[in-house]
Amino acid sequence: MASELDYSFHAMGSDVRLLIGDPLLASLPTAHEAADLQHEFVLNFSDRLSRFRQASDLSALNADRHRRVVASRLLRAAVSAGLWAARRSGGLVDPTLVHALVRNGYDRSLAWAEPASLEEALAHAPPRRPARPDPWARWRRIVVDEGSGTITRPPGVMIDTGGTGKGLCADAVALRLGAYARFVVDCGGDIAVGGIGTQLQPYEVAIEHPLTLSPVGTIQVAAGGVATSGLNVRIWRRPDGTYAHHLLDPSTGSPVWSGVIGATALGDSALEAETLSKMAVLLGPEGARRVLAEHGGVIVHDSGEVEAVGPVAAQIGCSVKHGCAG
Amino acid sequence: MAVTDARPATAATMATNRTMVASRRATASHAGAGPRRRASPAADRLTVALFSLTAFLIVLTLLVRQLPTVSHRDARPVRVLRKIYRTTVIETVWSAVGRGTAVTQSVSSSSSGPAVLPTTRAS
Repeated sequence: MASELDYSFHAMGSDVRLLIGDPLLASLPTAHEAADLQHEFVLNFSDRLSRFRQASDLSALNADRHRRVVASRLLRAAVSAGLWAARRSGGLVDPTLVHALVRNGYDRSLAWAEPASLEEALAHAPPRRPARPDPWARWRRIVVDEGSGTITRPPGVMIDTGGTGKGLCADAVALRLGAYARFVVDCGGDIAVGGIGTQLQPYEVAIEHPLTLSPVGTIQVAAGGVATSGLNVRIWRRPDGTYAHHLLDPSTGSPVWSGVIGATALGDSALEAETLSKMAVLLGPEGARRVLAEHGGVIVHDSGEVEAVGPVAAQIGCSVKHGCAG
Repeated sequence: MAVTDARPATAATMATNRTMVASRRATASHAGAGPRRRASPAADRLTVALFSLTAFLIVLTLLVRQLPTVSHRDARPVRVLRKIYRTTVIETVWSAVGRGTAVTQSVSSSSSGPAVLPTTRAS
């Protein structure tokens, strides 16, 4: 009888969960052994790419005053993923907003901090408007050179891989689990699904509502990625009494209040899904519908109303025209 | 001139009076016959039996009419395709990977998917 290992631990400021089926070859490590190996990989990934750890590869890059810096393969991959997301989103998912994040109060890990009330934040938020790319587009001046193993960027430009790190990590672990019958890699809600077994029996993935924290529905995922971005987790109250969160408008460097408080996206990979879900939150309802139309997704409006878009609409019983109450 | 009804009874009038008296007697004789005349016990039992049977048939007809309605509207046929037995052992251990991280792991012996669905959420 087929079996499946369910393995959970904490990393990257989130809960990480691995579901691993049987190996396709007897010579492969067992699911337990594979999970231990992936656990080690994720912890290493997290430690080396955290901007809150002084000893991390990323902190070393940001602290280096040289224009061109020798970087590890993992750091090059993470920065490349950030640049890919920036290109994919037309500059909306910008990896160069470290100064703005710190200015808004996100200068330490919020992994164990109690988030502020999203309802109260919405009540005091400024008028809704979609985010826009930074006209200076500093991310375009970052170059990753695999030949020389270096990263080049203008002095003073700091890089944050946090916006795309979990999606990249989920994809990397999924690649390493390719020889298992079926698997799910869940890095803080950014999920990669794969294995030949899922073609016959896809995984059901639940979508969490950002206000009620209860499932708004489930979608079937056979392969690829699904990710959710929202304002409900990394949100805090500033000393002046105003509220801030981690999704910034690149054109202003301030938290975005677009009319969308959460979005779930499907994609070919977890990295793509994460990028699309962030775009949906940043762009507001109209832009979100455009962004999510191809692969499908779910929008949660300020009111808490849930709207399913594209192929997902048929699965969870909502549609673009007929949003279902969360 | 005063007119008195002192006419002598004619033969016809007397005959009429006799007929009426006879008729009253006959009526009295019919009214008094009810309590005295009882139906036979066999006839009573037959009446009760017929009445009960009729009532039973009426109730039965009503029930029979209800049956198809219930089966179409409410009762859905339950078909058991297979029974799935799941054995799940959950344990929290200190990771062999080290660094003092706690790991929760469980193994499900069925192919019906995980007990708790993977959930996409903001983080």
